[in-house]
Amino acid sequence: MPESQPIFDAQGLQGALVRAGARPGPVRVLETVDSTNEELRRWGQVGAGDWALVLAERQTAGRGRRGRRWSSPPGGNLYLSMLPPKPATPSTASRIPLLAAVATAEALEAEGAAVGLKWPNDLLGPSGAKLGGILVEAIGISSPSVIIGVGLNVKVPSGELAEGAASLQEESGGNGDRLRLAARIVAGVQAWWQELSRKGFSPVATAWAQRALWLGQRVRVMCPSQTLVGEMRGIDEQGCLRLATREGERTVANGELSLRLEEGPG
Amino acid sequence: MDIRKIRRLIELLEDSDVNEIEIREGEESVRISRGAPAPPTAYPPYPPPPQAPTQPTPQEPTPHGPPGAGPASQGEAEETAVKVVAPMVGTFYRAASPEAEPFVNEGDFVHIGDTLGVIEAMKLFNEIESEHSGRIKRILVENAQPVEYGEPLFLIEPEG
Repeated sequence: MPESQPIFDAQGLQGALVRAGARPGPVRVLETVDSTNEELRRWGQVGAGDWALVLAERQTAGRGRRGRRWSSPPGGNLYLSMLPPKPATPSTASRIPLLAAVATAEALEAEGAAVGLKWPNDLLGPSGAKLGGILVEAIGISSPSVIIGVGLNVKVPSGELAEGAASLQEESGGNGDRLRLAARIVAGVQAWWQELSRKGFSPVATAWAQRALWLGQRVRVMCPSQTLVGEMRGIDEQGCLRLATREGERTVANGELSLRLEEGPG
Repeated sequence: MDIRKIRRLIELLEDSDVNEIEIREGEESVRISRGAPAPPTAYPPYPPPPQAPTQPTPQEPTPHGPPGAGPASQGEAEETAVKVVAPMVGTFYRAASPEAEPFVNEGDFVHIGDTLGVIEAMKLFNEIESEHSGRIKRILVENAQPVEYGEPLFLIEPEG
């Protein structure tokens, strides 16, 4: 690990949280963990408390969707998970990944970065490289516990990251103060969480759409059971992608979105 | 077309639930498909009656009944079974990853808190935990199938 990268300390994080205007919650700072989501899940089972936060320098088993690995080398990235209060309406929990994406994008923008959101919640830099990802897990049916995990490539160079990924420093420059960034993400998620409970999904959807990539453009979505092509219209009340296809409008809850390359010469 | 690109397309296909990819670049095109023919691709229209996550099974037989089971015996047998329904819209998975074993199979005994399946929507993964102890009587949805809010997923015969 580069010597210039001090390990996080809980006290420093608490201070950063206060400065960012976050509601303080219990904090666990670790050098190495299997996955911050897993750590928070174990902690939650014995009563971590609302807005408990886990931050790690390195994950040995960082996870993406459907069992995929999330490359989590040490040396300047951010791996954090937080435990919001239980959502009042579990059926609308699918909005949370988009809410977390908006909060994380705003935190990155506050650090001077330009960020685009690829539906539903991938954070892309100006070159199209992936700066980070968000994995939200809910456990249970009637009253699920929700864990929001955020992985951000802050300083680790792209050569050490997964293919298609790049660091915040490479994409946007800046010194990438990780504690300040982490605190801004937490404060942002908390603020949007309150906004969601007060005003519903509409303000979140608007903030999401302001950063959304490919709105109004021809896109391709590889869904679990089919591939759809159409014009991206935006998102609906649940956060589903609205797509204008030849057969009419379709809404999609899951799929890998890409910009459709127009057929033609070249 | 670059062989590396084709290899990458194959990896992409293997990594997904898509059956076939066709790419065209200028005059060249390549189509990669799995061994099996592609299934019908339309989402089945499902009436989404909002209902409580878990409720007693209604009397009428479900269309998923095993062959040979008469409506009368089925109604009787399922009277005591409880339905586990989808808490949200999304894609239902029976295992944690494409390579993993299913969380549960029909006939398995489950305890309260055991994971039965996962629903994904907008990259939120909702683990369906059993709210009952009992035997899995039937699994009503296929792996990677889209499900609606309130759609029945499992029938559990409570025990103990």
